[in-house]
This record gives sequence, C-alpha cells and structure tokens, in this order.
Amino acid sequence: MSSLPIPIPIPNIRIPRPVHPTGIWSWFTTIDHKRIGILYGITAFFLFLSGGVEATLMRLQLAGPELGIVSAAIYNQLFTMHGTTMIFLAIMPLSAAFFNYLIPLQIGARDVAFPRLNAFSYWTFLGGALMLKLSWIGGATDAGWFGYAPLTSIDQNPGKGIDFWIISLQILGIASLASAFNFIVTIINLRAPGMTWMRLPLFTWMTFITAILLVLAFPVITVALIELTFDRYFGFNFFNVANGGSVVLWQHLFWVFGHPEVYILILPAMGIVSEVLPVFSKKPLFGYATVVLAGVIIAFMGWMVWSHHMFTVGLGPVANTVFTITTMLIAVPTGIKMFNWIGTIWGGSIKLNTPMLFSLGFIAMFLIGGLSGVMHAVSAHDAQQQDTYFVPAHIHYVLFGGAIMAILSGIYYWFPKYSGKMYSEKEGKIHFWLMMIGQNVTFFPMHFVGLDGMPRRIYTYAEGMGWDLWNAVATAGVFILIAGFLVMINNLGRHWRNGPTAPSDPWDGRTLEWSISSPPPEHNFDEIPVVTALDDWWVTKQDSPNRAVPVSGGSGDETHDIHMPQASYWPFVVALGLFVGAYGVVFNDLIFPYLIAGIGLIITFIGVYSWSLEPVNDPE
Amino acid sequence: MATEVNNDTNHDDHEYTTTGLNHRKMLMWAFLGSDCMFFGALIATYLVYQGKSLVGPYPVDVFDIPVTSVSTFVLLMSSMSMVLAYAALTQNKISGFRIWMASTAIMGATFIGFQVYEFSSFSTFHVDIESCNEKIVKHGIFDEYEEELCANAKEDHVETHDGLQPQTNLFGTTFYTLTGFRYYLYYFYLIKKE
Repeated sequence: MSSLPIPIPIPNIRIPRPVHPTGIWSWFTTIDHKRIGILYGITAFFLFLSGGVEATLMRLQLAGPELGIVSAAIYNQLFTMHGTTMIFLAIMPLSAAFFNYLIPLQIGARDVAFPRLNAFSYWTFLGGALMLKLSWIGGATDAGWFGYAPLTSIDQNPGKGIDFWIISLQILGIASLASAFNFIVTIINLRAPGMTWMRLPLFTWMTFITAILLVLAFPVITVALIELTFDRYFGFNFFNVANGGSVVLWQHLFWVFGHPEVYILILPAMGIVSEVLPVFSKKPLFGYATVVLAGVIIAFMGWMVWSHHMFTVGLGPVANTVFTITTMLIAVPTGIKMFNWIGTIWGGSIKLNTPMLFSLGFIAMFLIGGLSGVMHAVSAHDAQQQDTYFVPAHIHYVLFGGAIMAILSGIYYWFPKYSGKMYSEKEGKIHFWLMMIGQNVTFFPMHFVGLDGMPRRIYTYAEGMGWDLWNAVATAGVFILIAGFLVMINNLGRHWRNGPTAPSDPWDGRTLEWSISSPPPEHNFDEIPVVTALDDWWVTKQDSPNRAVPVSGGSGDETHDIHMPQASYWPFVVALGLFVGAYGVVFNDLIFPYLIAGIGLIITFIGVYSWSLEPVNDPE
Repeated sequence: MATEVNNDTNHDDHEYTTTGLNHRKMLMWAFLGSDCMFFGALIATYLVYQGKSLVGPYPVDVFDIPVTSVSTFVLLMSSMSMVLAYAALTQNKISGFRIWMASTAIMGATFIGFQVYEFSSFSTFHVDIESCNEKIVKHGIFDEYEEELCANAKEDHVETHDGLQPQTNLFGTTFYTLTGFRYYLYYFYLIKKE
C-alpha cells in the first residue's frame, strides 16, 4: 500500500537480518520467545547459585560465636548482595523465564507481541546482572538490599559499591519494564480466538497481574534511585539531613515499590502452583474465578500496605493502625487462594510426581511464612520482631519455601516441554525431600533466635547469648540444601542431554502448551487453536479421545506460509550500549569525564536507529 | 472494533490481534500508566519537601507567574498543533501537515527558550545589596515581595547572593529535578558543569 507521502532520507546502512539457525550466533540474535525463556532460566539459575554461595558464606560465619571466616565489612556486602541477587537476579528472572516460555504457548500465539523487545529485555537483564555481580571486584554495596539513606550517602559510603548497585538496578528496571510492557500487550492482544479472559490459564492471569504491578511499581524505585544518584553525583539534597532532607522519604519511596515487589515475586509462583495442582489431582482448579479475583485483589491491596515495613520508624499510632489493618486484610485473598488449592486436591486422584510434591511443599511452607507474616502485621508485636532473625525466618519461608519451591515445581513440571526429555522421578523426589528437610532445618531455628533477640545483619555474636545451638543447626541445614541442589543439577543436566524422549503430553495436562510437541516447533502452533472452554486441551481430549494428540514438529509442509519474526542483531547491541554506558556512569572520571558513558550512549543510539530501520529479509 | 488503519506501514501488524487494536498503541497506553507513577513519585517528593528549605531563595522569591503562564500556554498549543498535523496527514493534506509540524517545532523551541531563560534567571537570582536601597535587581521587575526580600537580604547576604542551584536547598533540588525531567537538556548542562 501507499507509504508515507513524504520522502524521509534514510541513510543506506541497512544491514540485512541475521540468518543463523544454529550455533552461538543464533543465540545472540534469537528473538524466539522459547529460546529467550531458556536463556533467562539458565542465567537466572546460575545467579541463584551465586546468591546461594553468598548465603553459605554468611551461614558459615554465623555457625558459631565469634568466628572470623569473613570480616564485618565483607559480611555487610554479603547480606546486601545476597538479598539483591535473590530478588532481582534470581526469583524475578526465573519467573520471567516461565513468562517467556509459556505465555505464548498458553494463549495459543506464535510469539510475543514485540519479539525484538523481548530479546532486548534479556540482554539488558544480563548486562545489569553482570554489572552488579562484578562489583564484588573492588567492594560491593553494603547498605542492605533496601539501601536505606543515609547509609548510601556519599559521605557515609564513598566507595563505588553503592554506585554499582544504583546503576545496575536502573538497568535491571529497564529490562523488567520492557518485558512487562511486552507481556501486557501479548496477553491482551495475542490470545487465540475464543480465549476469553475467564478461559485464560491461571499462570497467564498471574503473569498479567504481575506485569501490571511491574509497570506501576518500577517507576517509583527508578525515581528514588535517580534522586539518590543526584545526591551522590551532583550534591543534591534529597536525603541530606543537613539541608533539611528526610531519610524517611527514601523508606517510603522504596517500600511503595518494595511491597508490590513482593507480590511480583509471589504471584507467578502462585500461578505455577495453580497449574500444577489440578493436573496432578485430575480435577479442575477449585473456584477458578475466585482465584483470579483474589490475585487481582492482592495486586490492588499490595499498594496499601507498604508502611508495615516501617512500623518502628515512628509514623505515629494512626498510621501504624491503618497499616496494621490493611496488612491483615491482605491476608484474606491469600487465604482464599490457600483454601482453593486445598479444595482442588480434595477428593482428587492425586499423583505424587515431583512437581506435585513441590507444589504441596509450597502450600505448607508458604502457610508457615504467612502465619509469621500476620504476626508482623500487628504493629505492637512487630516492634519486638523488627530487625531480629524472626524477619529473615519469615522472608525465607515466603520466598524460599514459597517462591523458590513453586519455581522448582515449575522447572520439573515443564521440563519435558522445554527440553523434550524426561527427568528421573526418583532423583526428583530425593531433591524434594532434601529441600523440605534442608529449608526447615535452616530457616526454622531463625524463629527461635529471632524471638530470643538475635539481631539480623550482625556479622558475629558473643558466646553465652544462648544462640549457639540454633545457629549451628541452621548452618548444618545449608549443607542439606546444597546436596539437594546438586541432585537437581545432576538429574536435570544429565537428562536434558540424554534422557528418555518426552511425549507431548506426559502429565495429561489441561492447557494448550501440552497440545503441541515437546519441545515445540519454532512456530509453536501449525494452526492457531480455537478455544472453546476453560482448560481447553483437557476438554478437547475428553470430547474426542481419538484425535491425533500432538501437532507435528514442523515437517515443512504446513509451515510454508507461516511468517515468523526474523532474528535481529540490534537488541543485543542496544543492551550492550546500555551496559557500557552504565559502566561509564560509575567510572565517570576515566580519561575524560563521562567518556565511556558517551561511548555507551553512541552504541545505544546506533542500535536503536538500526533497530527501527531494520529491513525484513525476503522469504524465499 | 476492527481498525484497518496503520496496517500498511508495519509488518508486524498483519497478524491477527485479539482486540483488533494495534500492539504499539496498547504498549503506549501501558507506558503512560508507568509514566504516571514516575511523575507521581517526583511530584510527591516535591510536595513532601514544599516549605522545608532551610535557606533561600524560596519559591516566592524566584517564581514569575506571568512568564510561566505564557510558556505553559505555548506548550499546550504545541500539543494542539501536533494533533492538527496528524489530522492533516490522515487526510493526505501535505501542505497543512507541513505548516502544523513547523509550528509545533517553533512552539516547542519557544518553550525550551522560556525554560532556558527561567532556569538561568533562577540560578543567577540575587539581591543587589550594595545598591539595594529598597530596590531589587531581578528581571527589572519590582514588587512587594522583592521589597521584603531586600529587607531580608540586608540581614542575611550570603544565602540570597548565591542564586538558586539544585544544591542550594530542597526547593532547588526538587524543583530542578521535577521540571528538568521534561527537559533532559538540563542534565547535559549539569554533567558539563561537573
């Protein structure tokens, strides 16, 4: 059709699209959501292990009183990096791996709405993650994962660690926002015909809610970090008490972001569990609409509870009472989900496969974490628990026992789909029991020492405080967890390469991803499915049991008129430019002020420019 | 509602979409939601620190409402001419499109000019004590505020002599950050200054 009537001068620098079906370059230029999902998953899993190494060092240091395995300064860096890593570099991207791999499959689409933006999200995330982890060289951030002012001020903390933390979080924020925009549009706009909102798989629903939370929560931390950057780099007064600034403002901004953030971490996990339980109970999810509504309410109320992180700041009795009440109220939709999950397995014909075990483990562990959460909600009670080990006990029950258990459930559940192979059920179960025992041995004693008054974030403690035994027990538990993860890595790593071939639908699944081959062909669906019911694939199997189950793996015949988005160099280049630019901001005094930042900016600009003018190769 | 507009320029849009709406338009709406929170947080910071500056110059010293009103009017009109330009384009009226685009650019430049003037007048704001004699040197305007200021300045020279820099007080910090985020140019100025 007619192009723009005005001739726009376009310089002739249009590099053709890359064509690398295999090999290392195919991974750098891929925009296939499934490959990006795998990249996300593997990267995040290694980052998760790095956070685990940090945690192990801390537990070794605390194994007995007055140990000297690490210094106080290193210990501060360890707990800060551990928290930041696990939240931003492990749980969030592990969830993102599932979003990427599964959302198009679950809604019956061939890719996400913006495939190149999706690749950009991954590479940007990788840049931010590398930047944060590499800050160990020369001293990492040590102000806690929440970076309270004035611990982060240039006077108190002149090192580069804080700068690395600020800038890498900004980069990770760009990645998360780009990915959230992408999934919002994908879920609204690329649902297969007949896939109405109330037929969406639960995981897709929770992804949608999470993406909206991301879009609304991340700008707030972006602003807080910008303000902190200006304070540190240009001597602004945002958090400078000497000039009237308020350190409590940082806490408000941080937790206005930070509390929705915990739902960003847990809602995808709840989505995974809501997928696994019905399949292994052979029952539809109990009260589907209620579970969806509870998720929406959690997302909405998640904005009204942030000050429960600040009960001891001194906001006054009215504020504390209001936030106590809202915090208790938000336990209600979570409780609704709990009862729905129990209702789902109630009376079902339960198969205790590894994914099911992890999901059941999630329910038990998350319940314990939820109960200590309701204890924190009482502001008077919270004053006793603030900054004690009771809080790490809570957070690890909800994030390790909760989010990580659910993610592991998902890793096993969809393993046949993304690898095309079956894992060893026996080793999976060993992993599960090591995890269940290990985490309770590690984290449950933290309740005891916490109520006994042991402060968190101390690098050692005196003998005779009565904390020796439970700290030693907690440290011992870490080794059970390590053993568990070694079993998992061995199991999945070995079987990914040469396990038995997985059928397309090994669990007798309910959602569309099980209707196609394992692993799915690049174009996912030979024909876009027409959805007629909730749990459409299950209904299809009941109605016509003789129907040929999987679609073909792309023999070529039926695929010739499917136009898939083509690979691209530019998402990687733009992300590289941001990475270089971010380093340039931290090291802004090398050779010439902001020289490296300028180079990064130029690379980014070239990348964005070429991206928008990228040609489409002619299909032959 | 199925809209066929825009399908010609964009390869991706050939595909079926559930709502019939363009992907990019929807992304823009999501982005605007995000932007609301971004500026919401910046404005919240400004409001929290309103009246909390320990030293001058204070808003009342530097703000010049008539100038700001004119520049705001120009900014709003530039959005309108942008809309008119787009309308002309959809009707294939190229000369109209060119006129409205050009006027958008001119009004945009005018607005930035006002902004440069405003920022530079704020940052060089001072009260001339030597020749004060109840008279203020500030854009040549004289009113009650300035009279009062002059009296204050006599008691307390140092602060009012410095102009309003982002580093001066909370007002400078929050004002330049909030308004400056619309004019990224200022940050290049800042970086250069460092």
